[in-house]
Amino acid sequence: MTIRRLKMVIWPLMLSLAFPIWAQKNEGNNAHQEMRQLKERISRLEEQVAQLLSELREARERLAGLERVSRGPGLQALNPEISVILDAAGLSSGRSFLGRFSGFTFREAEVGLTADIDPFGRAEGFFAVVPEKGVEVEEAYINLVDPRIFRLPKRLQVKAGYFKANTDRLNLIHRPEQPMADLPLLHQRFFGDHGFAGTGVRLQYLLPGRRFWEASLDVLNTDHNRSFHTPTGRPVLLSRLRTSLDFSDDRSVKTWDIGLFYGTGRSAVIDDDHDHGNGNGNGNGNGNGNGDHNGNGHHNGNGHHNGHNHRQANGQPAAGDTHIFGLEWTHRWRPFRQGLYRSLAWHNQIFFSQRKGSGTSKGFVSLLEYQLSRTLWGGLRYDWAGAPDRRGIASGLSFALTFFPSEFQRYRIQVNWQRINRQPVREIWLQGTWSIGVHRPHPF
Amino acid sequence: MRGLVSLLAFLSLLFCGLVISQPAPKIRVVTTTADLKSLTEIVGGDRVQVVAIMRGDQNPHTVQLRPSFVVEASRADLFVRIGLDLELWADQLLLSARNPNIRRGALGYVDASVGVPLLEVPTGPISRAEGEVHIFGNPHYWLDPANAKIIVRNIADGLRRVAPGQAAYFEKREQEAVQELDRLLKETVKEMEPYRGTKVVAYHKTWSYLANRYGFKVLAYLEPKPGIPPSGKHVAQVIRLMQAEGIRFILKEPFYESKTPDLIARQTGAQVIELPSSVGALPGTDDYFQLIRRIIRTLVTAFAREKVL
Repeated sequence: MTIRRLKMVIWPLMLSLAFPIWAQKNEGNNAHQEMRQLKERISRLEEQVAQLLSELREARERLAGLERVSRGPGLQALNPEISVILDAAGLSSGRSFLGRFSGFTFREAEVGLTADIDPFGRAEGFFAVVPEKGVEVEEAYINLVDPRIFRLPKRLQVKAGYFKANTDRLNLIHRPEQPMADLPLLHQRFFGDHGFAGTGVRLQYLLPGRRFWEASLDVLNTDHNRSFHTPTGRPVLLSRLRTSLDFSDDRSVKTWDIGLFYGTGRSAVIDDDHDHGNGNGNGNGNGNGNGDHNGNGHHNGNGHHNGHNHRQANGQPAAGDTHIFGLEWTHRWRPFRQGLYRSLAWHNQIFFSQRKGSGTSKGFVSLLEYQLSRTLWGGLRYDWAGAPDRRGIASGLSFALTFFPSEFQRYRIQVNWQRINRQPVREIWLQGTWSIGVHRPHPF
Repeated sequence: MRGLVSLLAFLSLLFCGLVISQPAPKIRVVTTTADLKSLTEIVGGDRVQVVAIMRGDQNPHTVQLRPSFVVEASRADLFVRIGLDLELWADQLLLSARNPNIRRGALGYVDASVGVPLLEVPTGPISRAEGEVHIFGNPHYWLDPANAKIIVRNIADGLRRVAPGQAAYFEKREQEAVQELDRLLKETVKEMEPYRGTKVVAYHKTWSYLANRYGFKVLAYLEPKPGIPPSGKHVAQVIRLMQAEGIRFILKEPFYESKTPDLIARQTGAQVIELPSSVGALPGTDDYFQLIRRIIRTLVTAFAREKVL
């Protein structure tokens, strides 16, 4: 009985003693859990603080940028984008490479102004400032980028103004940016020293379909041209069809651009002065120079060759029309990974010309540009050209090495072995071009 | 007569059924980069058909535009670009494409950089003396997954603009993408945590956003100025800096030459780490998530190896 009573006393006593221990242990567990939660929370907060600090830093940089913008040009932001390309060259030419050094000349400063007019049109102007000749308009035109305002199809692009004729790829490139220091003989002989430009309208239509097909029609009046003479009246019609084939694989871009060209218009007069170098006619075979030689931009721009009676344009129309047919093919290659260091463009072009009284003449140029390193390009060109105005045959082989310290500077040495109207002509060109201002990529 | 009416009604219903059951045509999207293509596919799901102009292993500055891209852009409903001044060639493409729907300011034009907190925004006078300076700030912002969330939002906004009828679908996918990017961010930040403050040099200013997010420091560049090739004098300066600062890592993109980084590595004992800067630049970077994981895994492996040594 006593034991039973004793048990009744001991058990509650033990329980009352055990409870605080249990409770304490439980409390310890709770505290431990709470501590773990707090640690996790601190860790999360640390992450958040790090992120906030990072965002704060970014916000400060962003704010600095915004401040720059807000304190920036204001309404001047609407001014046209301005670019200037300076082009200077030196030339040694004659029967041998060390013939006659014409000296260094500043060929031109090409000033470009481009701006959107409104959502529907864009205006572009390129002006060549040439020493002793003043300012020449190279191109000045508007481009109707959304023809739907005139209810024209959206795939049609309309250009109006004074611009380079869409005859081939090389004719569209401005002189300071040509792949060689001088224009190919084909362009000099068929069109003139500055290629072919005129005033008028271009309609350019991207044909529907999965493949690139572009058809264009230029309706131009032109006078500075050796094939056509249409300063007024019936304009020259030039049509070009362009397509592209893509052979790219996993390693490189490989494309073929193929173009077909046909142009027709009133013929330019046959200008015998072009065939007279230093007073010697084409036919006598004794001339030291020739019209083509004079015809490059170097001489034309600065009048270095005194005594050359060079005229770029013809003053009179000739009887009948001139028709020019052209075919061009450009192979391009650039590896994906090594594209900064290697690339190749091989351009081939042939023109046939037919005009009343002169019969048929043709010209051909093959131009290879190969990128040797990040800053060095090699160029090789073969020219062969007759002329629509019956001058003799000109042919040449040219080699150029071009160094680009950056995208905006270019230094070139070029060697020409030419035979103009049976006379050997050797030329060494040194050329430098420098670009400042906004420099946008060119059409492709 | 009744039979004819029934037949007509049946045929009409059949026609309507066929029309309704036709899947909506996919939204045609052209993006400038492979990263934008990947993020557009994540948001757009099976409702979009995306073409990227650049591949991941291409340098954005040397992209050779192909006429076939003009055709793609002429048919596109949406055009997505990195913006700032990374792909200046894109403006020429848009002009040639003759597609007013994707021209700047149109409903189908997306500048993915809108709202992105930019780094290295020039604050003083801007000049080409600084090399190929990016006048709006560093354009390599997609390499921070936090910015990818902003890109995703911009793309989703663009998709909703051109296909308002499918807005709910894009909304849902945008939210899922953001959640997935949050997970990616948390996971990768944790992985890189032990290597905060690690010093590196890089070939080009590509990694600023990545370094900012993950806490490593780019102390010098192999290009003396952006876009200017490394010169002997500059390389010697970089070597001296690396030796003085104990820098053990050189980061380079797959499209830059290896000769200069290898030369510096030999002189300093540093490791050259080739990092993919875009989707598809290296194997195993088929989408944006794989790209970021591959970058972080490569960095962690390289940093950890140096720690062990």
